[in-house]
Amino acid sequence: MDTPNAPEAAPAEPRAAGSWLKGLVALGIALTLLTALLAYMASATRERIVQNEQAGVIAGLRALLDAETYDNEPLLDTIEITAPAIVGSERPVTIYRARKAGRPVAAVMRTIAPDGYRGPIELLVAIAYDGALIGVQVLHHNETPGLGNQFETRAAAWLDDFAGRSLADPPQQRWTVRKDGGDFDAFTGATITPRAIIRAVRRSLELYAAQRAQIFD
Amino acid sequence: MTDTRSHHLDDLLLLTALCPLLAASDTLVGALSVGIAALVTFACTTALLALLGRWLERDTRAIGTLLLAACVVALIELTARAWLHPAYQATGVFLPLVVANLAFVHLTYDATSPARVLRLMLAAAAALVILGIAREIVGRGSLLHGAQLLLGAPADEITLFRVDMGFLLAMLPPGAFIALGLLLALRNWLNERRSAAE
Repeated sequence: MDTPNAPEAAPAEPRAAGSWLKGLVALGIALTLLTALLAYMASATRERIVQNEQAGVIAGLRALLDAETYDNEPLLDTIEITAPAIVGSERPVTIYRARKAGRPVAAVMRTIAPDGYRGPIELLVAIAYDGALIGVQVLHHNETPGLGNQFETRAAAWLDDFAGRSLADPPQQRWTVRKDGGDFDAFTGATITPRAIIRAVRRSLELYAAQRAQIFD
Repeated sequence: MTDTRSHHLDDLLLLTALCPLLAASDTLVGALSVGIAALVTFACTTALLALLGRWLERDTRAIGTLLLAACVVALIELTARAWLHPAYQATGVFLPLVVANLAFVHLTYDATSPARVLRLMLAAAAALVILGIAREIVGRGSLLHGAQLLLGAPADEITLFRVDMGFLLAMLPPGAFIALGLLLALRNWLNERRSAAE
């Protein structure tokens, strides 16, 4: 490094009063400049970041919806619904709507499972117009590698188990992992993650059932 | 300060600097990305501190180091989210921890040479990479898992042997500390052998 460090090496002298003030001023100026740079970067990257985040949604929608079944652009045909009583979060749920010839086909909810083992798990839950689940995709998670993330590794088919389920299949009390008397498998050594995902999927179905008219208005 | 004592200080700092980043060392790619991010942050903060150094007293320096490092990390985070999004998703949660890591090192060494800080940071990055390689081989039986995140499409994972679930302990955070312990034991053993030979 070509950094000079002479000043600090000087023997300690009685400090001039306000020399630390000079330091604060210098620091203040530097930080103001850096903050301006940060603000600039934030606005310069915002579009790309949103795009990057959309990329996951686009891929998820493609995986969940059969291209034959709809003819609109669900990514643009969205509605936001806030239903803390059902979802358990103040955050609005974004819903992507698939239609064919104007008739509703499916709703894909971008929702979160707030109670993951290591923070919220972001999900895409696709529900057919009649209320049956089409499928579930995980958009983002911080679950423990090897344990909580088995839905993308060892138990890659686990998420497929949701396809075709509905509010009545299985009945409400069995909408959980087998360990809790439910119908769904847990992962080897990890119960919290599947429990959180199952709960979030169930809540999405409830939200859909309660608000289908508004969702497709 | 005697030579051995300064060595002990180096060891202690290396450990403290490493700890926040250890969790990212479950794969070689993860370790590399966090290591590189730490080195870039280090280079930027050191340059900024050198510019401001003449005005900063010991007490303002502490705040300055933290704030400057935080700004630099925030900039790196934005850049990564915009242009290296997959890599950010894989290791992004660990990025802000680099600030703590740098603050430790800078504050302890503020009066001594930046060359020493550089050596320490390089040692920390090297240790991360070694841990990443070891943990990935033991835990997953592969190398360069997720390399496409860092290097673009062509790089591919090298599978050394196939495992069903992998050796989980190696991949979980405690595995990082066990691996670090083994690495330190190895280093101590080598040092001892060298000093015995002299």
